[in-house]
Amino acid sequence: MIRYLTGFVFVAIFAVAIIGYSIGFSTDNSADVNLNTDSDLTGISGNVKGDLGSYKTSADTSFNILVESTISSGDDNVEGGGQFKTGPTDIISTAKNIITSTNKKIFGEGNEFSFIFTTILAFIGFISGLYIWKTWKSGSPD
Amino acid sequence: MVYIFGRHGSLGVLIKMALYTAPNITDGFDNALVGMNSAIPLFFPMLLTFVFGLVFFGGFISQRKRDGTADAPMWATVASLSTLMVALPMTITKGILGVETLSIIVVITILSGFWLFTSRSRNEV
Repeated sequence: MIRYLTGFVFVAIFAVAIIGYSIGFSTDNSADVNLNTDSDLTGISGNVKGDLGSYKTSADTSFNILVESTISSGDDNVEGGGQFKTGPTDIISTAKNIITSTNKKIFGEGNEFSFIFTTILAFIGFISGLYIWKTWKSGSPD
Repeated sequence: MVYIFGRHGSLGVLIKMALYTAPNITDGFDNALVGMNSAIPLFFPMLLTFVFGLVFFGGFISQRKRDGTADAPMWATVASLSTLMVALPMTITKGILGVETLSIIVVITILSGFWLFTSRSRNEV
């Protein structure tokens, strides 16, 4: 779970940084071709920033819950386990944004390829579910 | 005009084919590049593909020779970033690189980063 989430957080930061750098370069050099005229990529940048903002808020909340929580003798789990579900639900939409933009920009939003991407997204979602269950149930965030 | 000369035809006439109108370099180097792009629209995308392939395959193969294994996600990311660094100055003047090509390069760079960061083991990130 730690490796998985770290990877996705870095992906989100990387995506925002690359789009931000490209737009910044064009603006600073008064370039005739500016990436900010591409609504898809600027939209992705905004969405990913939103995902990171939601992640930060829920991570802070989970951190406080974990710090303040107590475990009674004999208990081996918590009901609901909301604090262990933080991350994938916010950050996974970053993968959706990146994969959607790949379909649009490289494959021209063709139906021939879209099922491949929806399958990949479903797979990533399922793996996220398994990681959540593993972290929550066994308590081993590995 | 730039010509390509072929064999003599059946009547003994030298075949002379026009390839493209050579740009006027005295108008400035950027105008020559714009002229080259209007004559051969695929020239700059292919040049950038070459840069990507050069860095990716060069790094991948040399690392495999040296270490026995190669880190494909890392070289894909390095190659994408190199291509982006070469592509960005081409956007300063209109007519060399379109926003569509630039956005494809950015998407490929982000995808490479996605591959890189999701392929790391716990101690590598």
